[in-house]
Amino acid sequence: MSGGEGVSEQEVREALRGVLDPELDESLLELGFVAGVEVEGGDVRVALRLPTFWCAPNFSWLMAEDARQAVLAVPGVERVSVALLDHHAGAEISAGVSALRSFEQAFPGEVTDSLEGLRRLFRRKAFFRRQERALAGLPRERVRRGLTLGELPDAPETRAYLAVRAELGLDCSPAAPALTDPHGQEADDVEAHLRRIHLMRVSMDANTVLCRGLLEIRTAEEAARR
Amino acid sequence: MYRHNGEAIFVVDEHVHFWDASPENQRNRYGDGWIRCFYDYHKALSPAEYVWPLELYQKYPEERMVRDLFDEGYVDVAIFQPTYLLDFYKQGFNTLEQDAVLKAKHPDRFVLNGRWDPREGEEGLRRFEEEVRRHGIKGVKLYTAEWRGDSRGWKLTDPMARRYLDKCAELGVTNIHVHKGPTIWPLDKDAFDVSDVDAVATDYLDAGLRFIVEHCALPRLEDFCWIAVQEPNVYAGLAVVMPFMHARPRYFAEVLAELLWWVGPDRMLFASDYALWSPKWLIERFMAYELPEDIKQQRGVDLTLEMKKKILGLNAAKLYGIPVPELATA
Repeated sequence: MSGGEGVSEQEVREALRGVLDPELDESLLELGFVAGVEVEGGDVRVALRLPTFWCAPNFSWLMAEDARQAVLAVPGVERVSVALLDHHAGAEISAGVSALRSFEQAFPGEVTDSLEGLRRLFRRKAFFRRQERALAGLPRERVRRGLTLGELPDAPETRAYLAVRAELGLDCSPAAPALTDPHGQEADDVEAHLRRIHLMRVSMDANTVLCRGLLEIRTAEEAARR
Repeated sequence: MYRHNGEAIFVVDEHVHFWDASPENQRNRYGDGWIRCFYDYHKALSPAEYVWPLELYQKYPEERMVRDLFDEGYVDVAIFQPTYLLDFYKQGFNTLEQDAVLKAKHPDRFVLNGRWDPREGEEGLRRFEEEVRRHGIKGVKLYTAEWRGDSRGWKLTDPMARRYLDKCAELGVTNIHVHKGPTIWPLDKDAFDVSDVDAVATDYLDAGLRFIVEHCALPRLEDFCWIAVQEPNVYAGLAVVMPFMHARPRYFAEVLAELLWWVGPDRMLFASDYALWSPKWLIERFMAYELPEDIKQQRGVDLTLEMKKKILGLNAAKLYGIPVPELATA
């Protein structure tokens, strides 16, 4: 038994920084979803509060499960429990994730498939949004002529795009085309492609804008109550 | 009517509620969670001077609603969209019967929409037909994510839902307002999925049904826009989109530009979603609003006075056959 000596709250929070909201493609920690971290030896308790009581149970589950796994990977951590606060299905999700049950087991009869399909769908959306952001600072005429990855500016947006390409197993070499679909297929109609990824970026931003606004309200109320 | 530089603007608010979410009417913690979630939206996106206390927000008197919409809010005609939620509220959250009381007192100012739920089966179908005949209903509000017993929602493509859509076509209930929300069954699928709208919009085009997708399916705007491009009978209901004008003006411009490009100004409908937000400030600001120059350039769209008139009232008036005074028709 390796003792839990030395696990710090800071290490746990850093691990949570790497966990993304699958729908927003942003870090739970940076979104402000981490409501609390408690460390006692090798036992860690993580509390999450999402922007609304009605946040979809599937995404909520994925976040709670990803948070559990990320924290478990911190050296010295032996047990992790995750509590989802102020959520309509908080009891089922907290208990299910902490007891290592599957989503199907936690919601018997309400699920026909695993959550992996949903996760993949939203990774593809994240792929498009990151591509759009990587192109956003470039002159339109330049983008319209087509670009390789090597021609993208050295910027955080480019690195984020390369990271999701690597995650999806796509060519990340400098000579690879930058305007592709999530399977690596180069866009043939560049204008239509740009229209489409712009729309996807605006659509995903709706969530981020709403979630941040709603969470601010919830957090302020929580503080006022204390 | 709203007046803008001497022009008369006819306003139809295509989505308003008269709800009762008071603690006495709440059936369980979901009823409390529901209204608190609405209240958070209200607070997150309203200007400070338009934020209500929670007690008023849970249940507001009819005089207040009439004042906010018609006396102070410039609305000419408001369309009631019922939302039952009987699993959360003892007498329902916002029923046709509640709305009918106000409609009777202000017959020219309110349009009464109905609702149905395919899980109510044959009996529900009969009841719906009876309600349509009694109230002269021309539109329905459907809430596919509504809980009912063990069920967590339904789809427009369900066989029984098609029976109800057939009935709508038969009775001339041509305006089908669809609201998407989280927790639709099954839980492993995207809760905001709008692909069922795509299917029925195609199937019921010739039958004359129009599908108004409330809040433009946010946060699935791209799915909605692609459907609207292909289906001429799909419309954008702007509830939830409008109030971004105050809290997130740059983002509002981006969404509006996308809607103007993909859907077009003939199929966008103004809505306050009262009492989520108040029409007064939404209308004042929208009439004073101009798209930023860079967005106009980049997205290749504009927002003209003529388009604003369509969005604020003329489009909805056409869908519902609401007479528009001559001075506001141009």
